[in-house]
Amino acid sequence: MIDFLFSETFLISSITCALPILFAAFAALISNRAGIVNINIEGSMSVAAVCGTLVSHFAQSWALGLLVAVVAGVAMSMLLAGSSLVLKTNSFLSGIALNTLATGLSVYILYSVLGVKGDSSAAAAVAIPKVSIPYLKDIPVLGGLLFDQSLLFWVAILAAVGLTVLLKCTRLGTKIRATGLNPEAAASVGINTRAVKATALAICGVLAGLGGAFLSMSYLHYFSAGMVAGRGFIGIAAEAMGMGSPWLTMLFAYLFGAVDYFAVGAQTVLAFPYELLNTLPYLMTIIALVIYAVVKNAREKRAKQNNKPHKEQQEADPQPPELLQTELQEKKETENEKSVAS
Amino acid sequence: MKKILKTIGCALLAGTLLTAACACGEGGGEGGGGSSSGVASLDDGKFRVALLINGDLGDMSFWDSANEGMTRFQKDHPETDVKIIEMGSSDTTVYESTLTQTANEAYDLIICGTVDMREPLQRLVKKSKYSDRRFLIFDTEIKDGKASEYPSVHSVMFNQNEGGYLAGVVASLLSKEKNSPNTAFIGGAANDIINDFAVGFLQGVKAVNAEKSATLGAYNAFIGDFVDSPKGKTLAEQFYKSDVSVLFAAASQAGIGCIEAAKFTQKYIIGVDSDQYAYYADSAPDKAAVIVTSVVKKVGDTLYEACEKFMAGTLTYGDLETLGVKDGKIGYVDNDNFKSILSAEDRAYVAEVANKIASGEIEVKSGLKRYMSAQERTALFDELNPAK
Repeated sequence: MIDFLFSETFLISSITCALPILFAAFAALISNRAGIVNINIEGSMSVAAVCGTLVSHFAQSWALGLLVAVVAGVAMSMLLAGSSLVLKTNSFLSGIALNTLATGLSVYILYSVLGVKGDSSAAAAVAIPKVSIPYLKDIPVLGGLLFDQSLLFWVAILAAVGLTVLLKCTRLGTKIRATGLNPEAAASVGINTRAVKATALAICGVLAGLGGAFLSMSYLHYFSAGMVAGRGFIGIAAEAMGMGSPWLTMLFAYLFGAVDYFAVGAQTVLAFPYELLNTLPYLMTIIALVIYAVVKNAREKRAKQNNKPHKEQQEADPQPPELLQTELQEKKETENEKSVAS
Repeated sequence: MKKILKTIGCALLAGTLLTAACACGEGGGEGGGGSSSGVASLDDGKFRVALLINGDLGDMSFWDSANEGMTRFQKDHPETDVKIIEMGSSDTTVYESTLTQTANEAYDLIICGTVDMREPLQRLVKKSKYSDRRFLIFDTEIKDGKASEYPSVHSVMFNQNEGGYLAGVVASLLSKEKNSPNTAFIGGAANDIINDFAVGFLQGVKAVNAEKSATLGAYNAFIGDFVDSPKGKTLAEQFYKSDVSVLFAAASQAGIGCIEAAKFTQKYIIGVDSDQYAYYADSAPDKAAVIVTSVVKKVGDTLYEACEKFMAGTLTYGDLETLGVKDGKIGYVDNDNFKSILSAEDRAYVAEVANKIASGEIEVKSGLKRYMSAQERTALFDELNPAK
């Protein structure tokens, strides 16, 4: 058992299990930082997975497949952007609707192309290559860990670096963070919050697309209905635990991947009821979300204490009902945008 | 607010339409002269039969087999009217209403399957207005041990434990040839049918151990559901990378991930429900090559024959029919790949085992919960498990 936990296989297989979760978590991270809850990552991943693998098979090109997967991911995100930014729907509710749509849409695409509804295993995709470095990959542990990984492993590392740089060092990053923290304040200094949110959602779509492509073009070479199997949601939980930091998010995504792999791998080394093992990833998600809620509450409390004078002033005004208030906010936002435009 | 509702409404509608578009089966023929209210009369002299599929077509196994059998029946008997209704797997709440709707129309025989349809059917057939209709439920019994309480329903079950037993024998023989100390069973989720497969598999391994004085172990593991194919691959890979060279996966769609693992590691797998080698032989020969054989459950043939019996008036009701190797409804595929992988001697042995099961000389214990207690099953699982 201990041997199993510290084995090379465990380390490497956990990374493999963590990769789709990691992409989903990064996708959640960028949209959350811009202040949009995108729970449609799961759906984006499955649509991206089916589009990518089919194009890869028919075009016999993994690069084209990957591109299409990413485009499909962005398209799904743009649907959310359209409904939540342009039509001002609740992003959570449209996310639910889009997930429902994606379940049917992915199978519909599969059926209209191949005439089957289960999986595309008879039309194997050209796989995204591995980055194998001769000699280096024979180094024990490290070789398998770093020098014999899917190309998307390196893309994920790059994404972590990219997200950190984007959020911390670029103008767009500052705008994203500002919009996420307080859209009104951001708008008041001339930031087009809607455009910023749309950009963040597009990046979110790219990352979700990569996650889908990893499942159907790298780890497996076909799409099967339901193959994303909750990884998009677990990614959101990992992001919540990572509290908006790409590196912490990466750590927790790995942890989720490890638990996921443990649930599978442990069945081969110890006879433990699999039903209990299978609950581990979900149990961890719940624990993660509880921690997240506690931390968030503590933060908000602190923020409230810091903002006390401002708060009192507000309370002097009669409070409009909540719905009205949001509508008022929206009005203000558009007014702000207008004034910025003029 | 209006806008929000409008958009959500549109999105939901679009989603529903798309899902519905997928769920449309390609059933042949018209529904018959029924109306949605009231119960249609059956005296038009035409045999109408409906097959309700509470799953998705395109699974390459169970439902596709049922669909194929009924489609063939329609082709061979153009004077009849066969309707296939695909209800999908995502929304179980439509099962009962679809069943009622179908019963209201002029179908002489209504066929449905699996344990999910039991309760809706139990409720339906108790209503006297449907007393002239006949029903067939397969892969389960209308009520455990109480088929006689339902005089208009014919229940059909399969001895998948016998199929599991054959898989166990094949896996053990090939493991011996490959000098692997262990073999493995991978199930989707531990439901009654999958447990039955597993129990048969382990008995097959035990029998080979006893007769060929071998000491093979058999892992058992479950993916947790029938759709998570990446997990199926991870699990199978885990076994192949340790000391297993042949495994048997009964996990529907998730099991296809296991085939992928076998392909990557160049090890062997035994398929389930339909001839999976034949399915991949043209499109993905490298995948087909690792499928030693498949344990088949001939659902289509069973339904085809039942319809013929109905027309001849020999189908019986209020009873349970159990089909297995002796009826030719459970078996293994003896194809070119099987011949090239397994030695002639071993193949003869497998054939002999199949004959012995058919003749009753070998009696395979059932793993269904009404015949085997959970303790007994766990004991059997643990007995051969090298992880224990």
